[in-house]
Amino acid sequence: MILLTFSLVPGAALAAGFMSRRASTSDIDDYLVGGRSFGPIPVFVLGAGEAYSIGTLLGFPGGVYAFGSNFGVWFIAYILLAYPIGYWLAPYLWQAGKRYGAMTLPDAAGSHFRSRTPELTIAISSVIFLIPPGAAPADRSPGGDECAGDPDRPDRRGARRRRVDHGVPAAVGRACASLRLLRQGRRPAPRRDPRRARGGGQVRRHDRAVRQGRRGRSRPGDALHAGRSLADVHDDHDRLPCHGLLRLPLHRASDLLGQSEGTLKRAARFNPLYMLMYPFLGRRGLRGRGPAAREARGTGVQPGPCSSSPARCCPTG
Amino acid sequence: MSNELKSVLLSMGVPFAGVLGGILIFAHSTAQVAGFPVLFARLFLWMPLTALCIHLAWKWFDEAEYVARESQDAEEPA
Repeated sequence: MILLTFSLVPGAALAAGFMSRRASTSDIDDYLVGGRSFGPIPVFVLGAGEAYSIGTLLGFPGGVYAFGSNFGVWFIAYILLAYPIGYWLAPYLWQAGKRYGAMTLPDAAGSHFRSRTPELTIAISSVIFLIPPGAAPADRSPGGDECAGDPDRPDRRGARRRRVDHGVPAAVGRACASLRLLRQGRRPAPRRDPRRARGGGQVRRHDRAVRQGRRGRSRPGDALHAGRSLADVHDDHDRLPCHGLLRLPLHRASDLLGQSEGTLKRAARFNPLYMLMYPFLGRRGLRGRGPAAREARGTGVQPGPCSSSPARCCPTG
Repeated sequence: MSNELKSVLLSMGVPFAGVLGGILIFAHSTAQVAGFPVLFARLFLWMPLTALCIHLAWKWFDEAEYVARESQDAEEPA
């Protein structure tokens, strides 16, 4: 079944490619932007395909699981509010693409300003902003920073801390990011310790939260929000807001495929509906937190992936 | 008020007010809806509502203008 699935998808894509040759004029426009002839449905499908990234499918539930519902609120809200902006922005980008014969956004910027500087700036920043989405799911895998601390310290039941190995998801995330970078002709950065990658700030915050938990100074809603305000989460994910907002131009690449400005506006009406997958993804993240959060109300254990683990890898007292 | 401004208010103003207003109102709420924090549930509700706002803005204020523009482009020789 797996073999069939993996054969069918590339096979269907190849078949569609060969069939499309009949209408093709072998122009570079056809190859890169489909001759700017796509209707609203293909534009919507391609846009949703670009938006359904590894960050959505793994990063979002992993982030909710690791950092609580505040992460999910921030993640959903900024994407949801990007779509009304896209409804207004996309026609202007399409106009620029058509006017300058641009195939990509760096093309459009370079032609508009008649300078290589904005073209290179957008191209390079777009490549750089690909790194966090690739690395985010690995960084947010259970067993990440929330398990930071003394691994040899036993908990109240005498069990040793069990550090969940996140090497495999980290390697996969890094490999994906590296492949995309290599495809762009750039060299990926060497692997870094995720704890050091965050400058130790989160580890220090976690340690502080653990100390507060021991003194019984938990805030209302800690069980739900893991003791973190929205600002804390924003601070923890200081890289994500940057790429989240600024990588939007990458998603807008599909806007150059449309037949007209009206096509893009028609497609934009349905864009928020692709997010209806988020309740299911959020459910998975919250389900893991539920028992941990309930337990935390009575024990003072900081809720999180560690407190839901059988070995209680993050003991607080 | 021009059609464009009405469209901006409906397609962008209403979703922004709904989403950001909800965050301000329910930020400290611990209530749950169907197992989700109430703020989560509200954001999920705003997904179809945002699509509806954009759809209505298109139908009421933008469609006629863009269809006319497309017809004009189609009539012009390539």
